[in-house]
Amino acid sequence: MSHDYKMVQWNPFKKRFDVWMLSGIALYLVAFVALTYATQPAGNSFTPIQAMIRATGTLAFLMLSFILCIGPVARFTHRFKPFLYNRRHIGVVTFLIGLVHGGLVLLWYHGFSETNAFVSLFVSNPEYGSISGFPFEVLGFIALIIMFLMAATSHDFWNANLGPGTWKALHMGVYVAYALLVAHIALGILQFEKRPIFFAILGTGALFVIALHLISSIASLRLSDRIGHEGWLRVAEVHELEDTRAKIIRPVDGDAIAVFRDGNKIAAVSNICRHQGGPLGEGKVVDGCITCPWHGFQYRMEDGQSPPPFTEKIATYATRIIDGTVYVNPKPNEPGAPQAPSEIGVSA
Amino acid sequence: MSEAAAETLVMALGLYFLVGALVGLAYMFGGAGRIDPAAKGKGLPIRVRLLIFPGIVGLWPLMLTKLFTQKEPPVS
Repeated sequence: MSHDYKMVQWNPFKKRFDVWMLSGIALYLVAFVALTYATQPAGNSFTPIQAMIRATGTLAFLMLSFILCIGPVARFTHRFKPFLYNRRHIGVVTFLIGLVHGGLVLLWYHGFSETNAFVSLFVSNPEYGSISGFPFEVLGFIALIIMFLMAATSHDFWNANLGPGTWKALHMGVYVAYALLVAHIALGILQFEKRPIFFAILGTGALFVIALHLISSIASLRLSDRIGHEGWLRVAEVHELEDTRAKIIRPVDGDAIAVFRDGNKIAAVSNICRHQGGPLGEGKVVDGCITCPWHGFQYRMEDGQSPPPFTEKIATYATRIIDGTVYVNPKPNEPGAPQAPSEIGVSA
Repeated sequence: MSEAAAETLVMALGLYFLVGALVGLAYMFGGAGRIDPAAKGKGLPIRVRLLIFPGIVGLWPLMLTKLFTQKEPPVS
């Protein structure tokens, strides 16, 4: 919103979340290193750095897989909303863990020769035509560069000055980074490590990400198939709308619409938050304001305007209730235009 | 990849980030307020300036262009 920039918009909930996240990370690293030593094959002797390379690498991949699963899962259950709300923090920490992984690899495998460590990274294995001998480290390096750009532009300053469209396009690079990491692992450690844990981590992570995105996409398509009433789109029966929550409607033409219920009032607004394009319909109504699940940006139900002193505006839509069924007019009003909410019990 | 090609690539990357650091410094000392009125003076505390510095280093060609063309944040 239009205000002074803060370093991190922490609140008590976000602080508690970060403490839990960092504790979980520390626990994972300790457990992974301990298990690495406990289960190492006879004749092997890992150094602590090698164990940490594996621990940080697997952790970064699992965290990135989890980040990519948050959006689809949050569409089906409110329990995942806290993760959605804190996804930016998880993303930055994931990059930092990846950076530690990359730094340790450079130090351990490329840092002790006369050749520059970065040059060594590119030339130590020139078999680009081979599968089993592919220079997989280069893939991880490119993925890390992409993750750096995303982490470095995660502050609100960037969203404001790149514009939400450019910002979101840049951050969709997470899918490229993830694909590169899958290849990095498949062509790397899986070629010489025979213990099943690494296959399990790669398989589980990638399978969940792909399956959840497919399921979520199919569910979205079903939402767009709605029988209209005089050009209006059917939303739901009144009793199907959960209090303070929304149903998201996706017209065949136009942007998705979030139809909220707050007590006996029904109002519809654009599903896209002006901050970072977050899905408003996955948020809830707090103190009469629609609240984005990503970063808590708020808009009044009756006109789509952020409460003063903020100035953001989103499009509103007309709603009506006929025989207990809620309908929405898919034609948007101007952003910030007043639109009286429909009232349950009052006919259109 | 040959060693000569790798050396050229690494040198190019180093040069890219060096120029990026210079543009980043320009942003930290007044440039940010030039493209975004909300980032003028105390609107952008020093800790936030440090936080946006790496992003400017990474995206300096775009941010250098904005420094000369953008007067306020884009409206979407």
